[in-house]
Parts: sequence; structure tokens; C-alpha cells
Amino acid sequence: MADTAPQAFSPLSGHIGPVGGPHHAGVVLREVAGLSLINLRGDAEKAFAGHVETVLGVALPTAPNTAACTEGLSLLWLGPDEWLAVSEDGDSPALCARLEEAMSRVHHAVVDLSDNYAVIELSGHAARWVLAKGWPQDLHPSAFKPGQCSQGLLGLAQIVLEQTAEDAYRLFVRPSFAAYLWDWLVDASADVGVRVAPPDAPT
Amino acid sequence: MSRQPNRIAPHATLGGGRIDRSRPLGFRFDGKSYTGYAGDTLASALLANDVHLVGRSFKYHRPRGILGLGAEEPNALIQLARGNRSEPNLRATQIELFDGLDASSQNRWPCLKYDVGAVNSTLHRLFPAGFYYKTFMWPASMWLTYEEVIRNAAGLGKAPEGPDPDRYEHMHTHPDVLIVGAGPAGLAAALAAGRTGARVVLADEQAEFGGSLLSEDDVFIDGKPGPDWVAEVVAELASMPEVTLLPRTCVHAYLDHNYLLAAERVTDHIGAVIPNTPRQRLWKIRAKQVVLAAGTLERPLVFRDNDRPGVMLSTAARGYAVRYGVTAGRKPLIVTGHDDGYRTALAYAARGAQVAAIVDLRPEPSGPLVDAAREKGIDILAGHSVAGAHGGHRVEGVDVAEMTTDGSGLAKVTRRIGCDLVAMCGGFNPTVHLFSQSRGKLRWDAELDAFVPATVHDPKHAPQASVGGCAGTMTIAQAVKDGIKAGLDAARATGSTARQPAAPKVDEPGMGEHRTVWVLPSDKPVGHKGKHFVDFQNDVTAADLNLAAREGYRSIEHVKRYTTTGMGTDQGKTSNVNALAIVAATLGTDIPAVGTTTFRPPYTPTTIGAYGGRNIGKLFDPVRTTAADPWHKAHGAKFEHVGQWMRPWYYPKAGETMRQAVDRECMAARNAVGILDASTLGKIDVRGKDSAEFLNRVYTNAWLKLGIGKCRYGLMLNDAGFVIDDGVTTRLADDRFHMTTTTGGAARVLSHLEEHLQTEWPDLEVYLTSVTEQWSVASICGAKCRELLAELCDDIDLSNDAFPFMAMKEGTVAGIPARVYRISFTGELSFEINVPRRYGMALWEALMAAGEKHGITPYGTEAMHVLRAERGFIIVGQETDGSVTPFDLAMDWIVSKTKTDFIGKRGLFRPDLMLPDRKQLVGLLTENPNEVLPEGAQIVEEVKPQPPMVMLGHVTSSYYSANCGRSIAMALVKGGHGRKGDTLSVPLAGKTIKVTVTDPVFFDLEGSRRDG
Amino acid sequence: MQLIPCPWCGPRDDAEFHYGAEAHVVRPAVPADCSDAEWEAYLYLRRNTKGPFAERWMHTNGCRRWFNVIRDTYTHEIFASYKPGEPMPDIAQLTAKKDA
Repeated sequence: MADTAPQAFSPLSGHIGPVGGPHHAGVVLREVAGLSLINLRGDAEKAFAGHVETVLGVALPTAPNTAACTEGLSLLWLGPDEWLAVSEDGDSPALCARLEEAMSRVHHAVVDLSDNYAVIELSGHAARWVLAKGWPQDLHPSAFKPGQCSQGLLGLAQIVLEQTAEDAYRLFVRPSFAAYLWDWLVDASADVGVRVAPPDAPT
Repeated sequence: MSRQPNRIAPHATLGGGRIDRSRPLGFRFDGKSYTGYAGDTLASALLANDVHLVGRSFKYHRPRGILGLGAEEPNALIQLARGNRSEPNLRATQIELFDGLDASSQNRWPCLKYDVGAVNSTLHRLFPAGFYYKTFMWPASMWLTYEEVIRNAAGLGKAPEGPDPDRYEHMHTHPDVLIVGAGPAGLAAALAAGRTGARVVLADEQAEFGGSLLSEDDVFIDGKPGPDWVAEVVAELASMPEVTLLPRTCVHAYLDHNYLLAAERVTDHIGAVIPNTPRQRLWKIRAKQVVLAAGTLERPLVFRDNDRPGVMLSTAARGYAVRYGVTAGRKPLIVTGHDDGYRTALAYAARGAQVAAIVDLRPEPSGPLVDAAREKGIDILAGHSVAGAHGGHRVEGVDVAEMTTDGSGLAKVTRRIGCDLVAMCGGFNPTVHLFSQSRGKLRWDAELDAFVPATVHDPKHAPQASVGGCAGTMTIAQAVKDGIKAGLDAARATGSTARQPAAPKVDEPGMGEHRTVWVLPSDKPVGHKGKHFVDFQNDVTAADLNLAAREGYRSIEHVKRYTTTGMGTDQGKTSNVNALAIVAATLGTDIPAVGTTTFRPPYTPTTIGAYGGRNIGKLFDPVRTTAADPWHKAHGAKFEHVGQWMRPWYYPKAGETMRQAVDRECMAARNAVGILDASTLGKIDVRGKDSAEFLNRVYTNAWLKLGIGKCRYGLMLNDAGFVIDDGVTTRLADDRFHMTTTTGGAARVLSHLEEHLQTEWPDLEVYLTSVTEQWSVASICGAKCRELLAELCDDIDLSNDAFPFMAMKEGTVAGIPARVYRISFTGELSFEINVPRRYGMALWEALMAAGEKHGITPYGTEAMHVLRAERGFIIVGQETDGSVTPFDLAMDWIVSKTKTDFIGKRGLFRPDLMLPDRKQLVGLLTENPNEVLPEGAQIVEEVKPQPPMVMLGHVTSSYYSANCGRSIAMALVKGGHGRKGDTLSVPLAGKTIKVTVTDPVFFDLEGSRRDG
Repeated sequence: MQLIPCPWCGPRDDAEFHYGAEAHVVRPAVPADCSDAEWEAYLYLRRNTKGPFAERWMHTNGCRRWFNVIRDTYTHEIFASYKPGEPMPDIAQLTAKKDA
């Protein structure tokens, strides 16, 4: 048996260079590690929706490409019967178990994808400008604002994009594409300046 | 610094143009130093220095000068020398001058003034229309030789040798209104739309907004000179937060549903590299509404030797004088059928030039401009033709004579008039390129003698308006009025309720009737003594077009390709309509009957770099790696691409060849412990009460009774009956399965399954979720692997009875929560350990550390391929190619006889799929055990001295197997299952290898090793 | 680049989608009952319409849903988009409305 607890690595650990950069940089990049990411499938018009709300404390967003948020948790619409729960609480097995228990009698899928995504936060006054270099969808505030999310291709990587604040976005990407996406973001930020913030693992 | 002999001193009232005389800029052309000013183009700076000869023509190598003022320029193609930033075929009329610019002419050897190729010009009778087609087509095998010689002689610039060091990028934008062109119409449209608060993008290919207003000194808007009005409008637009101004940005492609591409030259005009700044930016614009305000392009006149340097478009000659303060000639002669030509005469006269004459095609010109010219004492030759031009490196004079009334011939003998500039005005073509690219229909306007937009192709999905010159509107007053309306309409269509602002008052010269004469009559017939050029860039003459029509070409598309008219980098901006008219006249029909040519993107040549954007170098294609990748790299693995994945191929030790490394890995994986990073396999979570039923429908075998915690191999077919994927699926719970797919098939399989669930069987309660990257997988196998695992895992009974083959247990491995599958792709005792990805590296390192004493050996994809081939296991995509059935693979055992249906079942019973001589999977053993067949080699029964031979099939997999002590191969062979024991041949270059057909199982024939 | 209207996500660039060819080709309920000719027709025979056409698309890089679109294969005009299981709209009526 191993003598010590096994070491966990986030998808971008070892890839991100030293933290830091110009203070006035147009964008700030950081990897967000330790989130619980749980994929939910079910029929929003049936009891499933109520069970989700009971466990997560937030109503299932049914408008396409919107996110419902509460303290420490957001629920992203991914499809007409698919959502991604993003929780700052890193104990995803426990959260999955609670969800499973609540909806054991309705058709559903609860799948722990906490390791199936890397999460990158892109913020700063030039964040929209940098994203627009590779994101074909409209990011103008009249078309996309905090509380909205969308799936698509950023450069050549398929991502889920969530706008979390006026100038802040979260990018969810498969871990194997994370290095590409990170490099792409750093390259695309060259004209506005980029600062790398330390990875900030929520408790 | 050299003086600029043709630079005009600023005029007292008309000013000195748009250049900044306080900022002189040094530049070089063909090795000689000159000076220009900020605001110049290379063309205006060359003319300022009295350089008219700027290139040699494509076919005849005739000396050529600057013809135009902008994008339409066919002659002045320039190479900028900037090392690996060097770029050929740039138009001197569009290159903004910068300090240190180093340009050279193209298509000349050894130098511009004495060009060897000019002999083509004297041998011109050998170069008629379709010359290349007629001459070099025989023998066909020689074409490549001819082509090389021809291309060298033609020499359109040189490509740089090294990679392009510049950065490029893309930018997406979604304006309510995109306005193309910032002339008077476009500016008015932008202002009207911008004032509503709409999102507006205004793009213009030039450095400075204003369009034709920058080149006129006789237009006043609201009492102000044109450029002053422009400055006010631009200032207001710049203050609007939702308006994006894009100068130096050529909108060059108008694609479906109002998707347009524009290339912005971000730093080209600076002539230096700005760190972290892209050289060019490709704008990808999805506009709700488009306003095209692209203006017009002037048509040249077709007369004999109209290509002499110093013969230029009238608006171009005027633009050089007014906008750049450069006289293109001291003794200009104007030839025109249009009042607009008089403005050039007046502009030159006002700047002190001695106008030689105005040759007017109209018999009785009249109107304010004509009166003004008369007042200035300019000689007007009404109803006259220019029969031909004289001069070599510079025009020296023209022959003029009165025309017959119908313009078809000369009424009198010619006389010569000396001049050093011929400004020609053959009328104006609306710039309908983008409109036409959007598939809008054009209409021939007989009054304008030009094509104008008629019908918008798709007003619902691609709403647009054309305004100003590109709509055939020939006054600025009307262009501004229409621009305001279009801008406002466009903004309103996206929701604005603003009112229409008043149109400014425009003061501009009034224009009278024009006359169009497509080929100016001469004293000699077309094609004799001299050339009437239609397409300057591709050296196509009126005689060539006549000939093509006489030879039977009727469609303008065929004429274009046969004569190459309009096929140059300028895409016939100055030639297309003249060519159509000449063909129509030769055929005795009218222009619309001949048709229009198709305008295709791009409007002007665009760099490949801009299209590539940042998809180059390490961002060219994502490289996907696994959690343990840093270990593989640190331990010297060689990698191979599997789709976008980068997988360890083999791990050579110092001094080992690939073969030695693979042999070692294969032996260790059976006799000690091998470890493979199997994380890339596709994984799908299947959930819902109908999951087993769903699997029953998508796999060929039975799934309803699979026990919880048990695994089963499945083969997936398409409905045609062909194998598309395989993998092991495990039942996690009554209503939950964990499916694995091939690495390369992961996305395709999920899509295939979703398609059936969503469109065929929506009643099934099944949800699929990709979990490929949730799990890191280390697969260990070999004689010692159970012992190894036992050291790291104390909560799973690993004995054969408690944990049999094709079972899954959950437990803890190296302190990590894990799912352990007892499945095997090598035939050995094997465990596939799945842990959450974050622990992938920790698991790998723990196994390596604990396995050291057992001789643990990491193996890559190559050894994996050998090991599975030793046991005759297929790889989908290697043993199959989309035309192979389970029966072809002798996998009848996995095809359920009792299920009434599964995807592919009906397909398997199509007659063709049941033929006895289908290609079937067999093993092949070479006579010489050390000889390894090449994969893909063809297999024959009867060897002939040379092809063709009757081919029976091909080798699908072939390796040296250290475990077997010999080479092994798998192959698809016609009727192969009935050929076991036969000897066949594999003919290769220089030798033939004899092979014996066998079962495709080469090792552990009884399959006894999987339980350890 | 065409804009394909996903019934859920709205119009998106066609690069986000996977084209699924002719819509309303139903897999026979009992394939075993199909003659060889019928099965061949199901597998391979498709209309090759120039003009308005009912076709399938999948929003691969979005919500991963299959849906149907009535689209003119020549002009690229789009007349309707609807969810699987919904009936095919009357193409003649859709296209006529446009002319009115």
C-alpha cells in the first residue's frame, strides 16, 4: 500500500508557466481546479426537475444557453435534457450520491465529470476581445451576458463557455485539449498583455 | 534626398492634397533611392519621381506603367523585399509608402528597361488567343516541361524561401449593419445607422476614409470641401461606442447568410514589426444587414497601343494630382466619352499643366464642364477617336482623327498630337463584385452602359442594399441621400425607431450624356500593327477576343478561359465589361445575351497567412495527451499520432532500435509485467432502464442477461452489415453500463448511438454521457501482474475464482479509488485499472515503482499491436475498412442467431454479403520466418512478370513477433477461409514472397494464458 | 458560411453542425421483412433534390441534438427547422409564402 495519500494533478499542472505578468494586463488567466462537475440528464418537465432543485437549491434553467446560479453553484444548460452542475464543493462523489438518491425513481443520469473537464477562467477588460478572436458566436452584451452559457468551438477546441461577470468567463474543456486551449489563449492575448494568476482551488 | 520633379506645389485655394509634406519618406525601387511623403502610395511616390515604367506585361513583356489608382491596377505589380516577409504581386497603387520601403518590379529579366522576353512582343503573331492550348497540348506528356518554361518566363514574383515570421489573427464580429466602402454613400449610411445606436462596422480598403471625395476638388458638401466633410463625419463616427471603423480593411468575400470576410492590414503600412501585434487581421463578419457602398471602377478605352506607360485611367490621373499633389504628366491629353474626363483636364489645368487636347468621342459635347474647359482655352476635339498611341517606355503622342457618325471608322486621316499623359475615360462600372458574390442578379443598364444590381439573392437571410456608385448612382448628392436611407433602413430592420436625418447639400459639377465606343476606330484594322489591349494584366487584346468568337466560342465563361481575359490577379476589374462588349459585337448580339462573368471571392488577393490566423505551429492542431504523458516523455518514449492523441509508440532504451525495443516490450508483457497507457479508449456511460435493450440493438450479440459487474466484448455494425467499432462494455448496475470504444472511434460511436436514440428509438429510456477523460487507465498484463496488483490493492480478492476473466471490481489501488476490469487485449492475464484522471500519474508511478522487482516494462502502441495480433485479435480500421462483416472476420460466434434485429442484422443477409468469395480474414506465414511482409501488400495466386495480376487481397497487419520467434501477418483474402494451408504469393518490387494461409492465431493457440 | 437554425440554440454557423442528409427516412420496423430491394433503398437510395429539401442536421458542437431543416439546396434559403418526431411541414406552402 502507498504510504502517503496519492497526489492529484489538475489538467494544466505542469503546463502553466510561472504565475505573474503585467499588472495592467488586458486579461488574467487562471486554471480553476477542484470544482465538482456533474452532468445531469433528465426530463425538465417531469419530477426530475424538482429533485434537482431540492438537492442543488436552484431551479433547472430551461431556457437554452442560460445558467442558473446560487452561492457556490451554477447549473449550465447544455441541451434540452442535459445540464452541467458546477459546484465549488469539491466532494463530487458525495454530491452525486445525494442526487442519485433523490431521483432514484425517475429516468435520469448523474455522471461525475469532475475529471473530464479542465476549467480556465479568463477575465479582464480585454477578455471579450480575446475570445472574439476564436469564438464565432456573438459576445456583445446585447447577445451574451453574465448568466448565459454556450457550447461551441474556441479555436479548434470544443468548450462550454460561461460568462460569470461583465468581464469574466469560465471555459470548460476536455483535459486533453486544455494545453492547446491555454496556449491559444496566451497567444491570442499577446496584444493586450496577459497575467497568469495562481490556480485557486476552492475548498 | 532626391527631389520629386512631379510633385506640385500646394495650390492657393485647392490645397496640396492628402499628403504630409513635413514627413518625407525614403524608399527604393529596383535598387534606386527616391523620396516621397507620408500619405503617398508607392504609385504616387513613383509618379512624383517621374517613374512611369513599373513593370513588364505577362505574355509580351511590353513596358507597362501605372494604369489605376487602387485595387483595379493591372500593371504595377510589385514585390516588396523584406526577407521572409517578402510578398509578390502587390499593387503599387495600394502600397502605403513607409520609410525604407524596398520595392522591385516583376516579370522582367535582366532588368526593367532591357527585357529579353520583349522578343515575344515582336513575335506576337505566334501568340494568338488560346496559344498555350493550341501549342503545348501535344504530346500531352510534355506539358509539364512546357509549363515550367512558361512559368519561368512569365515569372509573377517570387515566393520567400523561409516561413512567414509574422503573426496573423482572426476576429469575429456580429454588427447590426456592415457598411462596405467609406466613400460619400458609405459614410452617410454609417452616420445614419450609427446615430440610431446600432452596432455598425464601416470598412474601407483604403488607409483614409472618403473614397472619391479625396480625389475631387470640385465637390462641396454643406459648403465645405469634400475632405472636410469626411473629417467631420469620421470624427462623429469615431465617438460612437457601437461603431467600429476599419480602414485598410478590404471586404473581399460575401458568403451565405450575410457572412463576409475582410482582411485588415494592421501593420503593413508601418514597415516595421510591432511586437505582439498581428500583421493582418481577418475579420469574420456576420452582419444582420449589409450596405454595399463600393463605388465604381473606371473603364479603360480600347485603342491601339493603349498600354504605353503614361496611358492611365482619367480618375487615376486626377487622383494623383488632387489627392497626392503629383502631376502624372505635364502635357496631358484626355480621351473621353464622358463629362467626367473634363474634370481631369480642369484639375490638371488648374495645377499649371498644359492640356494637349480633350479628345471627345461625342460629336456635340455640352454642359458646364465642357463650358469650363472651353473657357480655359482647352482644345476640344469633338467626335474624334484616338487611333493609336506612340512611345516606348513612355507615351509620346497619339494619332487622332474625326470618326464616322456611328463611331465604327474614321472619317478623316489621322494627325499626331504630342503628349506625355493620356487620361482615358471609358465610363464607369459599378463595383458589383460583392453583390454578385452574394449571388445577386445583375441587370445591364443600357443608359449607363454597365451592369447594375437587380435582385438581391436571399433578402430574408442576407438582407442588403447597394448604394452610391456600386448601385449605378452617379451623383454624390444622390449617393449621400441613398446612403442615409440605406443606413437608417438597415438599423431599423434590427429594431431602431430613429428618424431619418436630413441629407446634406451637395455641390458638384453637373454631368451630361455620355457616349460609349467599345473599340476606338483606327486607320488600321484591329490586330494589325499594334495591339488594342483589353486585359492589361493577362495581355489579352481585342483581336484575341475577336478570334475566340470567330472560332466558335459563345459563352463568356469559355471565352474567358480560352483567352485568359479577366483571369489575372486583378480578376478583370478593368477588362471584363470591355471584353463582353467586344465579344458581343463580334457575335452580332447585345451584351446581356453574352452574359456576365461570375465574380468569386476574394475581391482582391488576400494573404494565406490571414486565412491561417493563429492555426499554425503548435496551434495548428490540438495535441491531446493523457495524465501520464509527462512520465512517458521523461522516459524517452517515441510517440505516434492516433487521431489527435499522442500515444507512446515504444520506449527505446539507449542504443536500441525500434525492433529491439518492441521485441523486448512484447516478451516482457507476457513473461513478466507489461504496462500500457490505455487512457485514450473512448468511454461512454449508458444509463436508464432500457440500457440493456439499447445495447442489444447496437451490438451483434446478446446483452439482456449480462450480470452486474460482468464485462462483455461487443462488435458494432452499421445497418449495411459492416463492422464500425468494437469494445468491452461492463454492467455497473441494472440500469447502467460502462461502454468502451476504440480510441479513434470514440466521437463517431457516440454520434452513431445518439443518432439512433434520438431519431429512431426516442421511446427508449437511455442517456449517454461521454466519460472518456474522466478516467485514466493503466493496463497491466503478464505472468507477474496479479502479484504486482496484489501489492497495491488489498480490498479486492484477485484470485481467479473471486475475480474471473471479464469481470469488474471496485476497490482501492495505491490508495486511489479504482475500477479494475479483468479484460485482456493481449491474451495474457490482464487488469485494466481505471482511476479518476487527476490520479492517473500517481497510479502509473505507483505501478512502476512496485513493479520494478517484477521487471515491469512499459509498452507502447506498437507492442500492443503485435501482442494482439499474436492472438488474432482484430483492430477496427486495420483489419476492417468499412466493407468487412463479422463473418468475413470469422467472428460468427459474436453474431446472435436468436435476436430478431440489431443494427446491421438485415444488412448481413444481403446477397453480396453472403458470397463465398468475399475477402476474409486469415493469417499469413512467410516461408522465411525472418521476413516481415509490408502492410498493404497485395496477395496473388499467380505471379506474372508485371502487373496487372489477379489480386486476391492485401496484408492488413504484419509484424515480427518475438514471442513466436518469427514474423506473423493478417490479411483479407478472397475466399480466404477456404484457403487454409494454401500457398500464395506477395509480389513486391524486385522479389516475390511465398506465404502460407493459416488461422489468424499465432500464439497460445488454446488461449490458456488469460487466467495467469 | 450558412446559418443553421438549431431549434434549441438558435442560428449558429454551419461549422458547428454535422450534416445528416435526407430527413424522414424511417428505419423499417421489422428489417427482416424487407426484401433485398427494400433494404437497399433504405440504406442507399436518397433523393438528390435541387431546391427545398427536408434534411437532418446535428448540433455537434452545441447541444448535440438531431433536428430537421427545410433548406433549399441550391439557394441555401432556409424555410423551417423542427425537432425530430415533429411532422414535416408542407414544403410547397412554405415556399409559396415566400413568394407572396
